[in-house]
Amino acid sequence: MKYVIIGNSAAAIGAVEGIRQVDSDGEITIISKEPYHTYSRPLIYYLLYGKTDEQRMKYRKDDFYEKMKCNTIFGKAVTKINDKLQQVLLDDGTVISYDKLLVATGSEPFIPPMNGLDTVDKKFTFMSLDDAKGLEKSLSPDSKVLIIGAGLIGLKCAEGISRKVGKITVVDLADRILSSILDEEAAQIVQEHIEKYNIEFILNSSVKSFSGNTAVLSDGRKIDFDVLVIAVG
Amino acid sequence: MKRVYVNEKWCLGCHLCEYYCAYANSNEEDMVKALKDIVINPRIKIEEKDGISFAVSCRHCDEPLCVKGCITGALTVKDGVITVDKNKCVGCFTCILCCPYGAVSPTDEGIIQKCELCINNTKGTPYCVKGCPNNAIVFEER
Repeated sequence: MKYVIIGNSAAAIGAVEGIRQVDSDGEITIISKEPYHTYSRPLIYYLLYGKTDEQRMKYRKDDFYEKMKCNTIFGKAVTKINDKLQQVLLDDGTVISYDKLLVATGSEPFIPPMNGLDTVDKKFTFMSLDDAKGLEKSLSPDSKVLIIGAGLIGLKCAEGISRKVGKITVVDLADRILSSILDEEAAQIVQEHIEKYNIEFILNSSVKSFSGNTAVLSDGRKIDFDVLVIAVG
Repeated sequence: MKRVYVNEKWCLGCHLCEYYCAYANSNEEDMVKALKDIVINPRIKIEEKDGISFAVSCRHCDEPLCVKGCITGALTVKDGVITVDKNKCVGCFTCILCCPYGAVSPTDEGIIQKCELCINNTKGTPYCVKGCPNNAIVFEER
């Protein structure tokens, strides 16, 4: 049996371990567009915070692929799946055939349409190791960071960088932070706690447009920033 | 595989297993040195209510939810024993929330600890069992 798995994070690794429980000989190929050994995505915040490093955030040991007898193709993206021929096409033109295919690619960050976003120089999403590395490089002790989204990703990002920057402002459309998991009373308590760490919230609000390093909010207020993080979902 | 099992009708609730656990995992040679003037934070804990008591520690489940839930890969199963790589653990406590037995707990340093059947300390065999005066916990194959 030839298994091909697209993706190299928790779901893909779980699949490899599951396959190997019942099939120790089948050929497994893991394809990932990221050029890294499997790492834990939730740890990108701990990486910025300094609680872990790139070696320790590996989701499985260095010899995992070898022990699980997996072929790995990293740094290449799948551009097409041909289910009739049971083949996948990579961005370098390579064709790989499969008997069973698993698409375990996770989600892409959602970027809402905002006018002038292309005029912002330093903008990031916060989902992958490359996001975290890019963000870290662009920060300085005086940076003003604007985070759009007061959900788990936005707040984890804020926590991770709070000791490294001058100021953080978090904007969210909802009337409270962590609106998907907290009610008003609980959200208020958590918000007051977070505000002690030099993190300011602007709720019931969204960014209408950007002009370089200035964001114009829906109520007309203007916010200057150096670095933008989009963490809407 | 051999696991730690409980005979709750023999448990006196003396808590000695907790002290033996703390001693074994301190890696101190001398029990007095290991336990003097400290509040112990053992990996086995006595549950007691209405005259019934028993020791609770990791069951080393065949399908461990703690391992499934671990976001770092710090928790792994090897030869049936679930162990934690303290170097990788960041203290997110997902495993503590996942464990149906309450058998995973925070360390004093803010990461997690759990029973590893004393395979990673100098004792090599479950010391809680060794210290139980009434055979209320046993280490055996079932």
